[in-house]
Amino acid sequence: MVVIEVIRTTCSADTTSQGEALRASLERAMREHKDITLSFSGISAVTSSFINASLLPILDTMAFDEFKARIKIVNSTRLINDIIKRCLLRGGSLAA
Amino acid sequence: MIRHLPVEVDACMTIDPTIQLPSTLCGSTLAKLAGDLVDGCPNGLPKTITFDFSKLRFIEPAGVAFFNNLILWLHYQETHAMFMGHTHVTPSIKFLDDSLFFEQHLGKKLLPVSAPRSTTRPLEKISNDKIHSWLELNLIPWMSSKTGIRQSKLQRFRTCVSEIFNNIQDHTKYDLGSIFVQFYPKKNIIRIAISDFGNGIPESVRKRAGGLTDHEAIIQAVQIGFTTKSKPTNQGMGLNILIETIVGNNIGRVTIYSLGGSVLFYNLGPRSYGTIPAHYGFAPGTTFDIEIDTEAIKSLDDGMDEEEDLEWW
Repeated sequence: MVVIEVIRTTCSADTTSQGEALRASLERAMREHKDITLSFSGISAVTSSFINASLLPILDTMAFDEFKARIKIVNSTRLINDIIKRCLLRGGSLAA
Repeated sequence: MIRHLPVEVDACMTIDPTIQLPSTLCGSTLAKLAGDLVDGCPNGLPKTITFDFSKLRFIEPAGVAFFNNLILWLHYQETHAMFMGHTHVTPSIKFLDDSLFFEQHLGKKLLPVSAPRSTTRPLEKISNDKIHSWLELNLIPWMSSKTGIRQSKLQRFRTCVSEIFNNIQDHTKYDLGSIFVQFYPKKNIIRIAISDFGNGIPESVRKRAGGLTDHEAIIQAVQIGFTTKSKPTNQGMGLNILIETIVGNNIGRVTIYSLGGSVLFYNLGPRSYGTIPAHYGFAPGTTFDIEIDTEAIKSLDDGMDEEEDLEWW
């Protein structure tokens, strides 16, 4: 299991380009590790652009059950998690 | 009605017009002014337009941002904006000077003593790569200090403004927006006005959904899932998040002016909103006029700022 801290990877979670940088880190980590913990410690807000660019392309490569099993999101807030869920739900037909 | 930007300057247009600013500078009066200006120049904009400030009496935040945006837009149309009637410094002129409007456009303040007021964040032109840190380090702490609302509870507004600026970057070639903020302590209201002079929401929307009027296009743009795919990963969430956060939670209202359309979004019930389209004129690019009730935010008890790990469904 490996921990990726968003704040160390991209400093903040605001833009598409930051999301792309996080996605690249996630993809590298997922090639080497089965389980990934994504920490939003120190991040107070995210945008849909960031989440769409970072997590949706990952979701495109696997079933949602595998995505949920492999990626754990911690040290977040209800606001951030709400946006993450809304973005992932819009990303395709995900089984609830 | 679609207002096309004039692109040809008539060689016969030799008289540079003087335009009287209305007594109240706000989104709707400026949209009318801009509409009359564009309609009055069927063969293209003149080289110079002089704005007369002598009848100005009251200014709203959206008026500051909209007017600033109009001048910037004229500049990019190669029309030079000049001012008259501003050297007699009335209270409204002083307000603009304190907001750093004249410093932005004339290179210096009218009065050396002019300075941003404690209830405003002065007019700023900010690029997308700077706005997010500016929100985190400047606006949110300022809003918190003025209203007594803790910063964690204001993060939802930071998200909304960030979404708007990401929208500006995705849809305009200029990647530049203007923002002006004012706190009304007696009314417990904060007004945030953001302007850009891109192509405008209706033009972008009609690339995906042709045949819509400017008002209809603005309403379409805020629907969840509607996207013009300006970036491959875009999903049409940003403007919907803005409306749901402010209007859906009944903590304020949002008016969007863009090209020939302007629409007020207001709360109709839990997570529900109504729209009032208006027919006022022309707004270059887009201006967002956001009004927030600070007491409503204080009374929010939805726990959105609480720390938690994400539980997958």
